[in-house]
Amino acid sequence: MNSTIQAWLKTGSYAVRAVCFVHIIHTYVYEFTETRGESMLPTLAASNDYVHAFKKYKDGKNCKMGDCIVAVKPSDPDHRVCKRITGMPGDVILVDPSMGTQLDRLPSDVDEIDEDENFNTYIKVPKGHVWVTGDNLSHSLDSRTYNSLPMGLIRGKIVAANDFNQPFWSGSKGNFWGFRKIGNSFVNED
Amino acid sequence: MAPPTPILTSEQVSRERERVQILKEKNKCELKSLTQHLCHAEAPGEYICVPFKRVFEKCLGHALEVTDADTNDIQGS
Repeated sequence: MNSTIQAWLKTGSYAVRAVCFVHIIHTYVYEFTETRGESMLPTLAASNDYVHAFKKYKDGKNCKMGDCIVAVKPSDPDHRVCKRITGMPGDVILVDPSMGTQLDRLPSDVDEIDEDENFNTYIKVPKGHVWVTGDNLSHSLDSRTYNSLPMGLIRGKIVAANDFNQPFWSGSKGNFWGFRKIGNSFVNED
Repeated sequence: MAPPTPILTSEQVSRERERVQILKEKNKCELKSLTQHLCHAEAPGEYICVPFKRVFEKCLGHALEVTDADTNDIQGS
């Protein structure tokens, strides 16, 4: 009887330690988590896409313009968001230049666009904050709605993703369930 | 939440452009770009995405966005 109790206690102890270990890894080292929604198309699929995030970039440490990050949603702390950094502290950026484009408009809507206003509406990103936008500017709730994101809400940087809509091997996005790296998109212009 | 962030006045933007222009003449700027997209669903699970490029002058660590109507051929020419 005594040995049975001891065995159960030992098993329970290992289980608690395993849970703590996973929690620490998940909080401070690495996270593999599902993303949903159209806001990061075409970088991340609208469903069944899982991202690999490194936590050493927590609180925006060493994050750069063009990095893809996972953060607590400022308007709803129970939710996370995946966005791209499109403005660092001190940068002077346009709030929403895509509003001035006719690229995704119907011909009947084109007359309503005030290009001058959209290409002259600048803000300066405050210290300790970043400006984030989804890669799909047409369907993204981001800094254009909730203003700059405090860097303290950044939980990690996304470095890769798996698309479980893809086959195990030889999918269009890559082998091993569409594994691909998610890099920095802020590049030198020729 | 972020502190209130006012839209910069045209004078402030002009000053920033002048500052960047001076730094550009001293070769202290890099022209950088970042491409995002405008996507629409064509059918359930199928999307058409049009690239949308944003251009920045990065001088001494700070960027000034210089995206304009010509950057993405908005006139459709």
